[in-house]
This record gives sequence, structure tokens and C-alpha cells, in this order.
Amino acid sequence: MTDSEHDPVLRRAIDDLRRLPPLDSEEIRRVVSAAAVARVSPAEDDDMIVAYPGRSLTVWAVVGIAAAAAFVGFALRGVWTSHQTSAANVVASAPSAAPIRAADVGDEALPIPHQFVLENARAHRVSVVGDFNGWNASKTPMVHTPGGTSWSAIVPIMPGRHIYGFMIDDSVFTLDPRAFKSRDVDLGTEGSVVIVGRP
Amino acid sequence: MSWRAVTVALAISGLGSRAAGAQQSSAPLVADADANAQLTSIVTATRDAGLPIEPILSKVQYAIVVAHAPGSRIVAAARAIASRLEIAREALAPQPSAADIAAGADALTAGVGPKGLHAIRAASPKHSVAVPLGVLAQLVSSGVTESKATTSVIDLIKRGASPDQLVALGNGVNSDMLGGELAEKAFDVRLRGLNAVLAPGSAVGAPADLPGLTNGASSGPKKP
Repeated sequence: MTDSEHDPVLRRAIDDLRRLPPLDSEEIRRVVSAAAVARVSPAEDDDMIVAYPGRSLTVWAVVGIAAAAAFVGFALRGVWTSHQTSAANVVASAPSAAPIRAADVGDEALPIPHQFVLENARAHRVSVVGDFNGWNASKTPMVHTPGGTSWSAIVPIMPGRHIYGFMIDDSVFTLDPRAFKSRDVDLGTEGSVVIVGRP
Repeated sequence: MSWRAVTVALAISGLGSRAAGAQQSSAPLVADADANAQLTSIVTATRDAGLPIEPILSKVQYAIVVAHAPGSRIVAAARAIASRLEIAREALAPQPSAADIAAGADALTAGVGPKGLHAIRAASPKHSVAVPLGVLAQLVSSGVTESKATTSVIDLIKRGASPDQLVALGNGVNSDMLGGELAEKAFDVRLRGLNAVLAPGSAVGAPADLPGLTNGASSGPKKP
């Protein structure tokens, strides 16, 4: 048996909340008509709402009231059961662990595809190297446009600021002529900068 | 498994295992044995402190592949990054993500002070600050004064600027500077453009409004 079945006070409270208040059909018709007049362009379902106010509005009224009843019921359960002597009836409301941070879930934690392009007519192999791939030329080889001079690669990168460059023929590091440069304060050398955000 | 998780796993398994003194024979971080031992110690200590080690590993790889730096300089760079990671975690408390800590360390490298990091975190306590910190780092490293850049970014965050709008601001400044414009002027122009589309907020006063940030003074990273 559930806790509500044990507690007569809680049971009465829940039963009262489950009983829905009566609907005033005339008031509903007055509100809908006023809204229709105020509307700039007529909605497709105006006739349906005016003709059947009882059906569609009753549904939403029921949903809203049921949601409110459920909320109040849970809140009351929390208040009443907190006074129970049985430890099994206590509802844990305080978090027992650190809350999950928004930064750890969802889109903020996902890499974003970013395209790198380099014009180079003489290279045989070009790779993108950066802090997003451990400066490893073998990880991100670029594709050469047939008949052209462009090399390109699309790399998934975490949002934020990144330093990168291109490795030409596995031996020559070159900056991106189209990107801003940044000097590494620890080593004194330069890298190209990209700031990646969600498109 | 996410792409990032795979990358982290590879980095940790490949180099972190060496840092932990794994028995298997594997290539050292650097050819210099003494430097390698020191780097291993730095990476191990950083990982044991609960800090992300990817920024250190990335710097080591950069030093080898791009800078061709000697072992001693690589060790010094790794030690500096480890220190900045710790400072960033403290400034971005509570419970910053690994991405936030790495971005914070990068911002410290660029010349943003710990107080600036803390202020950015305070302006956006529930979301990742990797992007705002990245934009701030770029603005400061480009030549915009730290106080002006920090105050402006905080104001933009409070007025609802999205990470993408901040990215566009940073990239716009970069683009203008590539065209020959000065950093401060480019920043002023791009800032006006973004201000025009954001909700009006409290007027951003002198940089002294933010405690610890004085006009023109940089509380940059303290070299360990």
C-alpha cells in the first residue's frame, strides 16, 4: 500500500484536489470572442474554438488544473511525510551530490565542425596541426581540390580559442595567412588563432 | 563516446601512462631523459591534482613540432602551464569544467589576470565560460587593454550576448586588424555593432567599477 493510503489526512487532501472546479461556458465564450476581435488576422481554428469552447478549452483547463493538483499533492506529501516517524517516508529534497553543471552536458560540451583552408600550389601533402589534435600532422590531413590550389579540412573543435597552423609536406610549419597571429609567451613562437563558436 | 572523450582517453592513455611510470616500453615525451623525467613528474602532479593535462601535453607537442625547443625550455613551459591551470581553477571556482580551466589558463597566458577570470565567472555562473574567456584572451593578446576588454565582455554577457556573438566580435576584431586597423579602434567599432543588437543594460563605467581591475593596469599571470 502507498503512503497516501496510510495517511487519512493526506488522502482527503488529494481527493479534494482531484475534484475539478466547474467551468463557466459563457465566460469562456466571451473571452474567446474578445480575443478573436483583437487578433490581427483570423486564426484557422477560430470557428472551432467559438463553436466548441467546451471541448478544446476544457481539455487545456483540465491539463493545467491536473498539473497544478499534482504539484500541490507532491508538495503536501512532502510537508506531511516529513513529520512521519518512518525513515522510509522522508522525501529527499536536498541534493546529495554536486549539481550537474550546464557546461558539462548539452551543446556546450560538443565539438563544432570548423573548416580550414590553405592555398598552396606546390605542396604534396598538407595537414592542419593545432592544440585540438596534439599538433599531430597525421591526424588531420587536408584534401586537395582537384585542379586547384586549395587544401581544406573540416575538424571538430571544442568552442573557444585555439592555436593552429599547417604542416607542409610533413616538415614545414606555416601560419594561416588569413588568420590572426598570436605569440606564445612561453616559447616565443607564433601560431594562428581561431575562435570557434556555434554557427 | 563523444569525440572529446576519445581524444582525452587517447591523450591520457598514450602519454599519461608514461607519466604514471607505466612499465611498458614506450616513447618518452622528449628525447632529453632529464627533461622527460621532469615532464612526467609535472604531468603526473597535474593529473593527481585533478587538473586537465591536455594543455600541458599540447604545449609539449607544440614545443617539439613547431618551436623545436630544447628540453629545458619545454620543461619551463610545462611548469608554467601547470601553475596557470591551478590559478585558473581557483579563479573560476566553484567546480569549473576542464574546458573552463584550460580556457582560463589560456587567458592567463594572454595577459588576463585572475580577477578578470573571477569576474567573468561571476557574470556567467551557470554556463561554460570557455568561449568568453577565449574571446577575452584574444582581445587582450591583440592589444586591447585588459581592463577595457574584461569590463566590456562582462557587460556583454550580462546583457545576454551569446557565445556566438562574442565569437563574432573577436573574429571581427581579428579581421579588422588583419586589414591594418589598430586593436583598440577595431574593438570599439565591433563593440558598437554588438551593442546595437543587445538589450540595453547598466552603463559600463570606468574599469574601476570592477574591483581589482584598474585602468590600463594588467594583473597578468605571475610567472612561477
